[in-house]
Amino acid sequence: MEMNRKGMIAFVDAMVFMTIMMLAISVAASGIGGQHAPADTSQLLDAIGRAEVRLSDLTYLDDDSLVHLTDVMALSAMTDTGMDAYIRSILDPMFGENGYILTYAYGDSAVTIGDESDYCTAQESRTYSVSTGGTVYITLGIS
Amino acid sequence: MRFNRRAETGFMEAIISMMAVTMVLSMYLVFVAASATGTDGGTGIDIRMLDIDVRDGYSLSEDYIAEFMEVNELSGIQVHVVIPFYDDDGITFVAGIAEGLVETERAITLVDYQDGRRVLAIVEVSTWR
Repeated sequence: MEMNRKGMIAFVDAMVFMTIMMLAISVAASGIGGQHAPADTSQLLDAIGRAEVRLSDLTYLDDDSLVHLTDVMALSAMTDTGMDAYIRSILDPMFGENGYILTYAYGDSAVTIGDESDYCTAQESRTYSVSTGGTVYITLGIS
Repeated sequence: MRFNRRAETGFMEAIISMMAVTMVLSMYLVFVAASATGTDGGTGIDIRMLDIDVRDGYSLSEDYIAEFMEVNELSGIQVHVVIPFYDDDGITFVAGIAEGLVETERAITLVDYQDGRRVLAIVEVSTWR
């Protein structure tokens, strides 16, 4: 079958249309399937603020005192305690390795975990008092 | 299909192109819809109502699960609880039969743990209907 120029243009036009439609459907489908509930960040930060652990669980200190997780985060911002691994073990399965960014700051020190790009679909911050004094500022963003 | 003197199909060619585009797009839509099934669509379950207790072994509210299954006409449900760092294997609770359309929901919740700890747990709920 021989096609003239018009036929070829119509064919290419149909292919371009089909490709654009497929891309649009894919983007729409991924947007619907992958989105997180807006309350996710808020609820998660509340849970972090209320969590209590033994100090020796997440630090190298030989002290079994019951402390708030946010206290350990404040300590971790000053010195490396292995807190990063704990946070990753919770957030990685939930949002994927690059699906979130969590920053906690105490005084002039801050630690960032996760994807450091600025793109977030939801972001929330909280300030918690630290039992030894001062406050820890936590920001969680989900991309 | 009738060809003209130069073997051009004209109108038929346009119709065939349109049918091809429609069929391919329809198949693609079916594929996308099928792929979307089973992702985090939300099961509608209230994680807090599960009343997960891990202080002395694992337990959860089987009454709430039974009621949730009945109200939502589910054929099966699975609740998998993991406590990162403290118990990475976790425990899986299964009720009913895992057959049919599956929906999965994952959430982080706070649970009471041993020795006064209140720790973060990952709860994954899958439902079948």
